[in-house]
Amino acid sequence: MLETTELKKTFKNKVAVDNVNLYLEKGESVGLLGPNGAGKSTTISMISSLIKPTSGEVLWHGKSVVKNPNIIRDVLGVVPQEIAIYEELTAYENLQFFGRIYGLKGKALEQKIDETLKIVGLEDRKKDLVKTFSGGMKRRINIAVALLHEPEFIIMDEPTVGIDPQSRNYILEMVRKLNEEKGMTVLYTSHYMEEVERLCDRIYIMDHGKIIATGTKEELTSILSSEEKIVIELDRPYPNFVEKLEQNEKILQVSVSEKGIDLIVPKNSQLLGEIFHIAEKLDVQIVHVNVQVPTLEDVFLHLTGRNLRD
Amino acid sequence: MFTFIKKDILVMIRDRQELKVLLLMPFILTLILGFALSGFMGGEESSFTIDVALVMEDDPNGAIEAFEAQLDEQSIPNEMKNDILQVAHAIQPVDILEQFLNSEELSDMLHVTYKSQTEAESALNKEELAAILTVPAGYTTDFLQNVIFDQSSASELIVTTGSHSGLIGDIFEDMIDTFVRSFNFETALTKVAGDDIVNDIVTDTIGNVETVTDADPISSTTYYAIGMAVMFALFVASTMGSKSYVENYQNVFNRILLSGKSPMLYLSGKGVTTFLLVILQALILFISVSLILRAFDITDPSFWLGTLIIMGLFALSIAAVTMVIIAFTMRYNNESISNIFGLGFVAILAMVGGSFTPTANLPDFVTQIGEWTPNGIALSALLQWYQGLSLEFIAPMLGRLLIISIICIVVSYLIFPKRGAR
Ligand SMILES: Nc1ncnc2c1ncn2[C@@H]1O[C@H](COP(=O)(O)OP(=O)(O)O)[C@@H](O)[C@H]1O
Ligand SMILES: [Mg+2]
Repeated sequence: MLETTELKKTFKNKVAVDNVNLYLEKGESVGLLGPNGAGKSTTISMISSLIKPTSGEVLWHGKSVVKNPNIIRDVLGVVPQEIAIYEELTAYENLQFFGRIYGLKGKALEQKIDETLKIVGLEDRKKDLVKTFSGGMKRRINIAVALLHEPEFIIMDEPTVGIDPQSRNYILEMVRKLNEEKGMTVLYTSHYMEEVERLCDRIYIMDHGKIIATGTKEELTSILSSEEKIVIELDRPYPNFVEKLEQNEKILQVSVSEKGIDLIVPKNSQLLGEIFHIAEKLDVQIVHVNVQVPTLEDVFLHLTGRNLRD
Repeated sequence: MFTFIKKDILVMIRDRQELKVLLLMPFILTLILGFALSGFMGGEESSFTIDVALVMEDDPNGAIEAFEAQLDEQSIPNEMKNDILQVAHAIQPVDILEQFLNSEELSDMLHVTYKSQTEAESALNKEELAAILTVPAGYTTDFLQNVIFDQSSASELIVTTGSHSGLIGDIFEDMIDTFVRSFNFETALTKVAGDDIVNDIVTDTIGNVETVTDADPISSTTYYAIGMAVMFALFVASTMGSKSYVENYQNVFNRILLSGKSPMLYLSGKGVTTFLLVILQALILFISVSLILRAFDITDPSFWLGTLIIMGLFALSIAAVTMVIIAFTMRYNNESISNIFGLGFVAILAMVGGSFTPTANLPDFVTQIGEWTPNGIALSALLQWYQGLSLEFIAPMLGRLLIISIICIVVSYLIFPKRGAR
C-alpha cells in the first residue's frame, strides 16, 4: 500500500534520513522505533508530502507521492509530534476549524466531531478551552484532529511524549482499537520500545537516519537469542566493580543503569558465580539479581552500543 | 476562507488583553491627550496651568526687511515680487506662533511671559517655569528662505524643560509640535492661495504636505485621533504577524498543508482579518472620540465619505503589509525574523511615516520614503480631508495606497512557502 524506496533527506550537509526503505500493507500496524534525532519525524514528513526528499521515492499504491502529493492527502491522517491545535479555542472549535478545512460541513461535521471526541474520550470537555487541558488531553485532541476525515492510513509521531501513564495507556488502547476494530493502517513512531512492542505487528529500528533492523518483535529479539541479560541492582554505584566486569572477556556488554548494572552474556554461560565472587572481593552490596530474555531495548543496545533513551 | 477568518477572529477575541490594547488603547490615549491639551481636567477654573517663558532671539521685522531687500535684487517681474512679499508677510512664523500661544483656547491653561534666555533659565531652575520656548536667532529668515526660495533648512523652535517639568513639560512640547505641524499646513495653504507663480516657486518645501487649498483648523484632539488611528493600525500588523509565528508553521500550518487546501487561503484569511480589525479599531476610535470630545462631526456624511474611503484603502494596505510580514515569517520559520519584521519593520514604518515624531525632524530622504509608507499617506490624507479638501486632492494618495497594497499582496504571495517549511 505504502512504500518508500531509498528515501533520503539532507539538511545543509547533515544527512537526516539515509536511504530508508520501508513498506506498510493495508491494516498493518507498523512501528518506527529510534532515539531522538534518528530521523523519524523527517521520514514521516516526507511520507506525508510535507517536505521533498533529497532523493528516493514515496509510493502510494505504486504512485509517486513526491510528484503528486494530493493522492495521499485525503486518505492520510497525521498526528504531528508537536501539539498542533489552537490553545485559545475550545476543543469543539478546533475540530470544527480543521474539519472545515477538510471540507466537512453542517450536520456531517457535527456528527464527526462528536464521534471523534468520543474516540479520544473528551466528549464532556468539548466546550472548554484547550489551554485549560492537561498535557494528555491536549495530545488526545491532537489525535482527534487527525481522525476527523476518516483516514484509512494514520501516522502518529510520538503521540505519548511527556504525558502521565494513564493518558498514555488510554492513547495506546485507542490506537490498538483503531487498528484492530476499524482496520486503520497505522505507522507509529516512538522512542519507547514498550509501546511499539505492544502495538505493532512489525517494527523498523532507526538510528542516525538509517534503518538498522526490521522484523516482528520476535524476529528482532531473536537477534539476541544466543544471549541473555543479567540485571544487577546495587545499593550504590561501584565504578571499580564496573571496571572489573568490563575486563571479564566472557561478558559481552556492560552498561550502567539507574539502579545498578546490566550485563549481556552468552546464554547458559553460568557467569553468576563468577560475578558474585568479584562483588564479594570488592565489598559490593548486591540488592537484587534478575536474568531476563532480551527486549527491543537490548536489541538496540546490541546494534548501536547505546541506549534508546537519552 | 471564511473558516480561516472565523478562526483568526475567535483566537483574537480569546486574547482579551491584546484585543483591549488594539481596540481601546487608541481611544484612551486620544482621550488623555485630548483632555490634557484642552485643559479639561480641573472643571471650570482650570487647575491645570503651564507656565512658560518665551525667549525671542529672533528679529522678525528685521528679517522681513532683509528679505525684501534680497527680493529686490532678484530678476523677477515686479508683480511677482509683490505677490511673494504678501505671502512672506502672511506666513510670518513668529507672529503666528504668538497668536497661537495667546489664543483663547490656550490662554486658560498657558501662561506665557517674555524673558531673556538667562532670566528664563534661572526661573526654570527655581522651578517657577515648566518650560522655555526659544525662538532662535535667524528663525524667520531661515523659514522664509526655506519656504519661498527652497534654500537652507528651516531652524527649529527649541523647547527646554527641567527635571521637574514631567508630564506638563511633555504636554507643552506636544503642543508646540502640533502647532508646527498644523502651521506647516497653513503655510502650504497660503502658498497655494497666493498665486500660481508663487506656487511654482514654493513647491514641495514642507515635508509631506502636498497641495492644500482652503483649510479648516484642526483641533488637537482630531489630530491625535488621526495619529492614533494610523499608529495602532501598525500595531495590528505587528500583532497579526507575531500571532502567526506563535501559531507556528511547523504545527498548525502543516495541518493545513496536509488537508490539501491551498496555503494561500491561510494567507488571504490573515489579510482579511487584519483589514477588519483595522477598520473596527478606527470606527471605535473615531466614534467614541466624537461622542466624548466632539473631535469629528459624525452626523456629517462627508466625514464618513472621506473617512471610509481613506481608512478602507489604508486598512487594505496594512493588511497587505501584514501579509508580507506573515509570508516572511512562514518562509523562514524563525522567531527573530518574525520579530524583525513584526516589530522592527513596523517601527520603521511608524517612524518614517511620521507616526511617532514629526517628519520635519528627519532627513529629507526619510521624508520622501515617508510619502510612500501607508501610515504616512493615510495621515496626510485624513488631515487634508478634515481640513476640507476635496477628494480630488487626496486621490493621488489613495492611488499610492492602492499601489502599495497591490505590490505587497503580490510579494506576499510570491514569497509565501507553497509546500513545507523545508
Ligand atoms: N529543518 C531542519 N534543518 C536541519 N536539520 C534538521 C531539520 N529537521 C531535522 N533536522 C535534523 O535531522 C535529524 C533528524 O531529526 P528528526 O527527524 O526530527 O528526528 P526524530 O524525529 O527521530 O527525533 C536531527 O539530527 C535533526 O537535528
Ligand atoms: Mg521526532
